[in-house]
Amino acid sequence: MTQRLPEPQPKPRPHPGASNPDEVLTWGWDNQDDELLEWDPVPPGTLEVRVKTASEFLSSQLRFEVTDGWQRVVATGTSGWTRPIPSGLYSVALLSPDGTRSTQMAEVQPGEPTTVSFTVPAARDPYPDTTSYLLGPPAAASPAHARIVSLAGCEVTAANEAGWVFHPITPMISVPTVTIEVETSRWELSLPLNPQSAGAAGAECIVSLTWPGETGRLRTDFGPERRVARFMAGVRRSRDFALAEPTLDQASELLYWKYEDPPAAALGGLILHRLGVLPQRAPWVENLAGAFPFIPDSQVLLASLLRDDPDAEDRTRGLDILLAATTQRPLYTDGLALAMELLRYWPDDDSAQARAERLAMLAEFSVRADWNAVTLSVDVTPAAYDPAAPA
Amino acid sequence: MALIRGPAWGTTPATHALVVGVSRYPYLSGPGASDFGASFNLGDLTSAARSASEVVAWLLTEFRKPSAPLASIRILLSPAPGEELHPLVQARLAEMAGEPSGATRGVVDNNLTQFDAACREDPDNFAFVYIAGHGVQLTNRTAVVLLEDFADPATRQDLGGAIDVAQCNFGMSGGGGYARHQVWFCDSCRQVPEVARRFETLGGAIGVAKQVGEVDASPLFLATGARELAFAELNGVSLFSRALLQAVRGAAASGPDPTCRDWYVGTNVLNKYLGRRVAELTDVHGVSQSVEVAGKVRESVVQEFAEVPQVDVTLTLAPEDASPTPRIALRRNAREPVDVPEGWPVRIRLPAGKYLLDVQVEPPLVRGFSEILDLGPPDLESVHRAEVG
Repeated sequence: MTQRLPEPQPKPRPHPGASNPDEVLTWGWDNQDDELLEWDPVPPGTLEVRVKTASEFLSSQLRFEVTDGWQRVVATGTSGWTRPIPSGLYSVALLSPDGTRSTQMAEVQPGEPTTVSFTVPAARDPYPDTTSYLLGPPAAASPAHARIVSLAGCEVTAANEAGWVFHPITPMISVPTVTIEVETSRWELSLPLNPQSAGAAGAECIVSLTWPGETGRLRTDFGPERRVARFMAGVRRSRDFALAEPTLDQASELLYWKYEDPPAAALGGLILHRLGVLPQRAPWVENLAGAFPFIPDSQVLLASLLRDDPDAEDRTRGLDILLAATTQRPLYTDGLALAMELLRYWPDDDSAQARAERLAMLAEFSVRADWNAVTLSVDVTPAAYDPAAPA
Repeated sequence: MALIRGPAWGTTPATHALVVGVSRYPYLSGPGASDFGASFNLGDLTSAARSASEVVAWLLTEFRKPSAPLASIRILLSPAPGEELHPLVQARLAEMAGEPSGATRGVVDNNLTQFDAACREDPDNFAFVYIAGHGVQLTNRTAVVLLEDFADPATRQDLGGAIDVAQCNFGMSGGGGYARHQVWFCDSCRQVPEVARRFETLGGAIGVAKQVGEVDASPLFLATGARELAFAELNGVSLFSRALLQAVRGAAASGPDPTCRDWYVGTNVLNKYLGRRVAELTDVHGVSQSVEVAGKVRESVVQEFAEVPQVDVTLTLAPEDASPTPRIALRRNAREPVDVPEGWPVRIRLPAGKYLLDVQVEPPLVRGFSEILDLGPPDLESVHRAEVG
């Protein structure tokens, strides 16, 4: 647990919202139990929280938050948490495997146990039918109104009217991409494919066509078996960073140290950077950048750490890494944004011309990027991209 | 200097605010336009200064942070002709007549320096920044906002008349005694690619040199949408500022937890709320505008409430003519009975919290109704339907 909490107060005071003046909060922290508050005695019951997901890791790591009848957060924990708790009404909010919050209500009766169970039904998976892609004939059908224009570093292994499944072509030397035409627009997408996976399911990603309005949009997702990676992407979309941070931290290390899924580890690193806690994770970032040079985002992450190093030599090394990484197409939207920020605000005046050149190169992505997408998605519709270019 | 002194002026720790709103751009269009300015094909905005004035009015009348009460607001507004500011702010500016308050480079630069110094007086100070105007968001982490004298032919032909908000946020996120907790809002827009690409190669915008070290939290919230849509409500307020003010007035409030003993608006919930609320507001127009967060995204308390938020609750009965009339038992936290007015539908204002609702029936009705009501932000109005039979 990395969260810092206030020191316990010597004289607890009544909460202004508590209609019972005797009910007071005393702030404390038990590192083992993650209990945030204690109450004066009221008839207690027992509350247990269980979490079941298809991922053993996430089942044990996903965090929940318990809020009492006065809307105070009274505890956080992970699956298996069981505590005596004052009788009353509670809500339990879980950071779900898709990165969003699920909430359940509970009434704890005096002297009785109450269990809140979270399971991940198929319906909670935003793409419950994706496994059917794997069973169907390759490219037997394509999404209506859309077609693949070109591929780089990957192949299509399945498709239907809703989208495509992609696998990497190894060895991977750069970020794989696909260019897809949707009606009159054309998009070039970075694909988070995993060349480290021993099995096909752990390598794949999916691009699906959605219709939020009258305009078709493309959405890139990790394959359904890459559950930890999907959790990270879900957190990025939902922005529930506070509850996710401990899980993200451990998930990123897990993905890196086991060499399970380096692209997903890079995404975890980008989120941790956003939270300002990446400096504490410097060793695995250094190794990730060195071991997987085909993910420029990991090198950008390393450069971001070296930028703030008091040693000028390390800052120079960081700038060299940054300049090398920014000759490549980023995998993630946040990787692109971080790279441009570093190029623009590098603390030393070194290589100003080279930084300006890299910025100009990356601006070709940034000016037409879909900033709502987790993976880099760039509008390359010919007419809009360059009026002089042939359609 | 357009400085409004708050009740905590001269004390520390305290809150210092910098609010900039630019709607008037004399060098971009109209008779005063320069060749350089006209080449961007941009004109005046209708609500950036008004939006900034609404934020200032909230700071003056509703902002509450006991650990760092309001000490100062540096307010720099360039309203467009005919744009109406909040009356309270209009009055305060009138009291300062003669002091430069237009959002030009020189004035903004000077005020930023003063603001920077004020924030450094005590690490426990709180810094609040809101900047609205024509902007260029090249990525989801950077934003440059054009000031009133952007493209003035008498000055440089680059971003000299602009402020690099992300760079200022970055610079002030260093150590050196800065306020450890800060919150930044950039209410601008994303230009069309052809315009954005030109800005990428321009330099010279106002910024702040970074010091060694790191503050605890300095999230920068960026409204990112098509340029017209960031200010969709003509002669009103920007959609982003409307969502922001709803948030700090309670819609993004959280109950007490280790971060704050009172109900409060923290940046973590604010992040989620603004993203969802701005999307809702822009969906009405059939388009999308998102809110991104950059800077150091750690929890920081923006607003604290002295009272528990109140929720307007409506309880309806189905079927409406159920007879004999079912009775209601409502208990806060399943323990404390709540007096409920007679008759259906029931309309009642309740403090945020959890309530156990029991609707009891008598023969010939056999099926009552029971539900836990979870009342609180973001829904300060709540409707529940009790189905009996």
